[in-house]
Amino acid sequence: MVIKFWFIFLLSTQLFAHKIEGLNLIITPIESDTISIEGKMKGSGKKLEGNKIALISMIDKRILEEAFLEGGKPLQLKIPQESYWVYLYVGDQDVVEEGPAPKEGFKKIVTSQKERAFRTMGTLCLGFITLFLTISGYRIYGYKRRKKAVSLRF
Amino acid sequence: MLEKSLIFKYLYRSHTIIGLLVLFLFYMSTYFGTLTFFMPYLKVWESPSRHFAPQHNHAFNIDALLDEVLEKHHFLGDKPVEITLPSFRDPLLKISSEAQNSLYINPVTNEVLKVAKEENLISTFFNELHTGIVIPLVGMPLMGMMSVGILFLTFGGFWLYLQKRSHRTSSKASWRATWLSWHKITGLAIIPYALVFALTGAFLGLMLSSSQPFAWSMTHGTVSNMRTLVAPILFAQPKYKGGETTKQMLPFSTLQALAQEHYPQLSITNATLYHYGKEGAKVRFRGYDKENVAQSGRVNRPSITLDASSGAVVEHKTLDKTHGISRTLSTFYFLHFVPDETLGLRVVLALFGAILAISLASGYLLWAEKKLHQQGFLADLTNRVSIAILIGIIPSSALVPFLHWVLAYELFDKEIWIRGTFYAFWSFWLFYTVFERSIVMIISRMLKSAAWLLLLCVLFHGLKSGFFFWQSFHQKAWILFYMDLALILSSMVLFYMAKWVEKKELFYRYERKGVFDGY
Repeated sequence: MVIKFWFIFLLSTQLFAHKIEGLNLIITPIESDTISIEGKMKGSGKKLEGNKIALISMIDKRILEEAFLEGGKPLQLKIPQESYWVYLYVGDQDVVEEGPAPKEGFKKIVTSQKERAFRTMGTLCLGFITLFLTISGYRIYGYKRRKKAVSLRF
Repeated sequence: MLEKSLIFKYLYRSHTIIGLLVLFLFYMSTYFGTLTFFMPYLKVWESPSRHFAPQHNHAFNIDALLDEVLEKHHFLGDKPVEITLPSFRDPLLKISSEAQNSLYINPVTNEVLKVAKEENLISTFFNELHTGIVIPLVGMPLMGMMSVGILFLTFGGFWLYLQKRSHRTSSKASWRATWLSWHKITGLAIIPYALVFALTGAFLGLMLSSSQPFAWSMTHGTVSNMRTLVAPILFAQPKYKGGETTKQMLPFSTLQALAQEHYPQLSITNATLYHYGKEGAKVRFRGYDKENVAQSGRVNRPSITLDASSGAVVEHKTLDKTHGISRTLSTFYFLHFVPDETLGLRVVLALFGAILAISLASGYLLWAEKKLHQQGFLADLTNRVSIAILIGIIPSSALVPFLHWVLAYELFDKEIWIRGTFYAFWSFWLFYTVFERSIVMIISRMLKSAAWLLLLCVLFHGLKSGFFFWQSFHQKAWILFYMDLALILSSMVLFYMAKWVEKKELFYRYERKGVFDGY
């Protein structure tokens, strides 16, 4: 029994996406409101070359800026004035990170949504599992009590 | 030496215990694996960019387009450019390179498409559930272990069948006898299927994930990744030098025709361009050998390399020239993935998969029958949890395509929402099985909700993509039409089963005893 719950619990913890195993998208803010962007392989430390980078607005999903990683140098881009994501495209997949804010803050802000889906659904999952555990506990308790009552009667 | 009756007893017991341990996870793997047989068609169905009627034999012509596209999308450079030709797996033509995001071209209109990654969401998710990779770290080896368990159950079960002992089957009409005969018949029917798929599956699940210690010890502790060791030998990539001066290339279709002429058995699936547009440019055509599909799978493609400007043959690598281990590996993969086979074989294999699922379920029922007459709450609770897992998987997985069509494409975390909802819905059923008293009600509600979700997902597919099934019939987009039809049919079957469950005496038996007495 315990094993089964454990499996379902494990299943429910696996809710991530937009990450590619073994690939790092490194974003570091530097002076005068620019960011430097690098893609690195985790294992070999090899830098990505030629991949497309896009800054995408969180507000209306419009592409703010597009550029390509070149020659192993970190790519430097100006920080946009609204909340944005940094997309790195590799083959058919993409890696997404939330971009850092400029010094004076964004002019237009949306609240961070990074973990929103994960948190909502994770809570819902665990909520149902807790409900399941409490209800079955309650049922078993009732069952045992009834049995006791029956055996006392005789 | 043990006495024969004692061997029988031990084997019988271990068959039961190991069966119960293996059942639930392997059922999940079987369920999603059976769906994965239709992955190529599911992929077409789930992505609107592939909603068109392909030309006969997926014909295409990109001669006029290629140079311009490569130039415009930063593909020209030192890295080879990979072209995947349109096929039943993907009717779009794909251009990709190691350092660039892939580009898709509609072969009918020659239009360059922007395709979001999210479009293969359903098939990727189902495949990950099938391999167990959704469980972090231990998932794949765990599924491998389950496969080993199934191998044991297959052999052990066959041995038990051969003994033909009529043990304790007192009345022929009992449910126990019914489940036993179901378990026996289905079990015997899927022996070859189970052996092939569990064996290859065990290899894929266990060997690949546990190869690190072997690599580590063989290299005296320097390299631990097996792939970096074997890849240069087994999957050696040719290296070609390119010149600096630009040169006129032959049209792609001419090159393809030349390659086909020099290697007529090759059914070309991919082409790789080396230093395209420069002097000394090469094009390597790869594909499977029509006379030996199994050995020329995706890990072991025979190829022919042509000079892109003159059309002369540079290298002609037939199947005999490939590495023996690659050929074995390819056969091995072929048995599990059936990569280049089309619908016919896939339907047959999916039927076998369904029989395997029935065999597993009847095995569980056989055990549950014995427990039904025992005192205590445990039997009732395991029945309920098993229903949540074995049947609850159907509505939960039906929710995935439904949400895929309902949620907006622009939603950046759509994948997380859908995966999360899948797990949440599944755990909802787990809760519901103990909340609701009537087992018949639970089962029929599960089946009904799955049926409604499937019907609705056909509806929303039509609304979102503009391809209702009568439209796809009219436009001769057969894959879309048959996918919709299959979904509607399975929805009907589920409705019918829900009705059937309500009528059936059998399922009421599970409600009489246990936790819910006097509720």
